[in-house]
Amino acid sequence: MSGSPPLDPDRRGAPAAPFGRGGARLYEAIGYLAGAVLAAMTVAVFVQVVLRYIGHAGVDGLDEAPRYLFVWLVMLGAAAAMYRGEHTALEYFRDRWSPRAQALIRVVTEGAGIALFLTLIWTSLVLVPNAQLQTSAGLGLPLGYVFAAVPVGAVLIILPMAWNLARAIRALWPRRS
Amino acid sequence: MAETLLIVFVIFILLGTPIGIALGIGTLAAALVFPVLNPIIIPTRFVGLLSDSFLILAAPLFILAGNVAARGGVARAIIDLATVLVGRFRGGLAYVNILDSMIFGGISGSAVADVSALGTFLIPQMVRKGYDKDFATAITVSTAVMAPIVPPSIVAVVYAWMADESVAAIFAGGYLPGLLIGIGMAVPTFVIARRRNYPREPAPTLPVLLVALRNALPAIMIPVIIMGGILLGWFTPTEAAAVAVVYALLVPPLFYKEFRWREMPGILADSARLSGVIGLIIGLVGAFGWVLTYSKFPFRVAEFIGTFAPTWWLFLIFVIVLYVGLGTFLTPSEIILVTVPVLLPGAVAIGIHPIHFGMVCVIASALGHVTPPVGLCLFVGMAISGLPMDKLLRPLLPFIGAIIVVLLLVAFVPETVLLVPRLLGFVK
Repeated sequence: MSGSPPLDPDRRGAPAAPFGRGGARLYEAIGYLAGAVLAAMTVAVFVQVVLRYIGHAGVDGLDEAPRYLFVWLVMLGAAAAMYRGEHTALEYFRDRWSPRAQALIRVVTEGAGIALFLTLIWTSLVLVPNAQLQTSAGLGLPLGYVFAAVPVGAVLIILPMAWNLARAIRALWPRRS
Repeated sequence: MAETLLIVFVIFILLGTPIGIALGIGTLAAALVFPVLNPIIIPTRFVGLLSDSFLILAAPLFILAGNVAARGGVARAIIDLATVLVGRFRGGLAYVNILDSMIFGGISGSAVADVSALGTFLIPQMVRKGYDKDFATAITVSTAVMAPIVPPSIVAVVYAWMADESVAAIFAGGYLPGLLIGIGMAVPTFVIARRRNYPREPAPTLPVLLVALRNALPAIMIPVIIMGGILLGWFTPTEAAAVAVVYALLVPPLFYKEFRWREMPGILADSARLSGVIGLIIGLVGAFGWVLTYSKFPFRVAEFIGTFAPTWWLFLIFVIVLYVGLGTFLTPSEIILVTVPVLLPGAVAIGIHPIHFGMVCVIASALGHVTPPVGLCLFVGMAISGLPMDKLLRPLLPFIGAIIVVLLLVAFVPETVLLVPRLLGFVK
């Protein structure tokens, strides 16, 4: 599918499987969960079409459900893709550098990426409780449940990035034998 | 503000950060320098962009529809049909390769799905019949660019959503360019097939032709339902995508018996991860768009275009060069998401029709699918054939050349895009 191949253990100081077998299982489960969300979206949209064609005015909020589920799909799917290294990136120039410089670049890029997702979590601490006070027009759903996808997904995205960061830092100071 | 964001964005892209995250880091950097940009805008716009529009849901649903169709025996039925239609000419399987990509592009909307679904059958089959492996791989990889051009197309949905244009119009605008690219690819195929004396497939008898047609009907109905439904106004594009998923799950498996339900969780998870990759960028484009609007950057770009490239065709040449360059390391959806908000106001200001502009953007960025260093289709083709990249570069050249010629034709003759949507009444 899209993106760079899974991280290679021999290159760029990044392991193939962050957090070992448990991590692999967890992120596979997250991928399946995201798949279930996508299935639910498909069913919601399809049911809407069917209802319209059998003359039903439509169920309240059925158009809202797939839109809100999409936010969860993106955050969970992006986390599962992050674990597998599937987010498209330009590795061509980074790979030209020496192993140590590559490790340094990784420290900078993973560090900045983690800062971004920490910001998303930090701002969500204000945003989610506020959104919880509002309800959606159709379903009457407190919007906090939608906004909560951002911090939850951000934590799941940060974990593999933090693992990569730790590996890169270790690669910066190779142990003397 | 926009400059700070873009400079940091480009630096992080060059350092190997995924594009969506680089965009977010750029926004964060701009927020550090300019306090007026509160970082809370990032998650607010993120959720807003993803949940406000019913239309953008078409992207994950078309990804799913393509992945389901790719594993359900649809690919084989289409290859069989194309074989009886064009296999009898010299180098017949190469024409089959072109035609089935056009038809399959009408189902999947994703070039990568096209290469993996069709390439796994066609490349070994061509090699067995005496075609050179590098030629077979190169033509399979390059014909896949038709998938995002022939409707339905995930990239076109993303463009229509960004540009606030009708999806039906841009979908309809893809038919003629898709056909032209198919014809363009047939030219080098004709020359190479004669020079290397590639084989022909036996000419079909009428009963064989009818059987192939009947077998392909459940597959061919997928594009008919999607596009018929959208063009006739029965479904919105998002609904059409959901209907296509349900149809591809229920009908073709009855006929082809290749689909296994236990594969379904894997197909859903694959589609969900790809949706996550694209969706993360869509969401993070939100705050980027806010910065662009706030700093009036697109208007400055439009002014710059007015002096630097005062005529529409000069501007399109600039866009094509930019997109083909970006396309060598970004996917078409990513390029469109990042550049359309910056460039579209300028394009419209010098009189380029947004549908025409969109199709030029789609073709130019799709070209990047086949060019190194990170052409995604190229990687899939390499994986299927086992050939290294350097072995494929020369055989790819004539096909890349054909795409470029058609791209220039489409850029300079707007009617190649606008004729069909105009006839259908989507464009005045």
